[in-house]
Amino acid sequence: MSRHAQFAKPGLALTAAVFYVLLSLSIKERHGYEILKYVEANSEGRVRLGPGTLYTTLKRMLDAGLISELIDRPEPENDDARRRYYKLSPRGRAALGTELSGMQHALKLAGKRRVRAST
Amino acid sequence: MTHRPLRLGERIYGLLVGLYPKRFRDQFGWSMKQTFRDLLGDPEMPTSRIWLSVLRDLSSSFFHEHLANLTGGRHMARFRLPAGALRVAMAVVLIGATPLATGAVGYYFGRSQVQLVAEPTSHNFQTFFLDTGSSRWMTVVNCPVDAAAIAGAVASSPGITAPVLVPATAGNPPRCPTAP
Repeated sequence: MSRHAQFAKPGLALTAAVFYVLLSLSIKERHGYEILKYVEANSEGRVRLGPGTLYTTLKRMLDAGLISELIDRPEPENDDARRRYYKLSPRGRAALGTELSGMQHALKLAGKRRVRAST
Repeated sequence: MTHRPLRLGERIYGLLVGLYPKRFRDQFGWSMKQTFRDLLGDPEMPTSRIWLSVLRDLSSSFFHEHLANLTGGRHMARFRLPAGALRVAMAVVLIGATPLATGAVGYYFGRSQVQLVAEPTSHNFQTFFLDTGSSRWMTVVNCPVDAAAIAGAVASSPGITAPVLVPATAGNPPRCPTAP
């Protein structure tokens, strides 16, 4: 199975790290450290990426066409020329949508069965 | 990026980044180091947590990247390596490498002592004790057993020795006490 096919298959869930990276880039383009901070804060500490895991994940996502590197640089005063910024690709947006609708379906099903999340 | 001298942590991390496959390093090495620098500069991030995340990285992404490099990235598409197996592999490598590394370092720093131990000068490596009563430095030497002193339990023999605490004198080898 190619990497494109791996992520395009509807039944195949994304890993937590890939999901949160997609979510972070769905809002705006970010560089690595911004993504890392977003993932940690928004997963409430459940997903913690070190620099190595972050860039391994980004590499896989780049190879799979879920994200791409930003060619247009941000405003010069907010930019560091050597930093790389990433943005969501149409494929990544579709994968995120599929994942979110799968989650919504699972939540609806759990609601029907009166299963509640433990806090 | 600020142009200031690298901290020790950054240097160590730079060496660890150097262990990743070249292709990955060329693509993401600078970004990894910059992210690590950003983490170190984050006042909300405890240093211990940063290093823990680095260790986690080594036990997962490090092996994934080497494996991907060896297989041309094919393993990623076929199967996902269980994180537990990777951590066990990492532990085996670390446990195996530690005695080798410490042995090599110990040999390097202690080789002069190793050579001295082989020389027949028994007084080179003495342990000294401070006798607080007499305020004298004492040391232990092996002296011939005096059969009378141990009530005839053992026959006196020049071959049998026992440790005796004797005063230590600068420049002179410690001597056994003479019988009264």
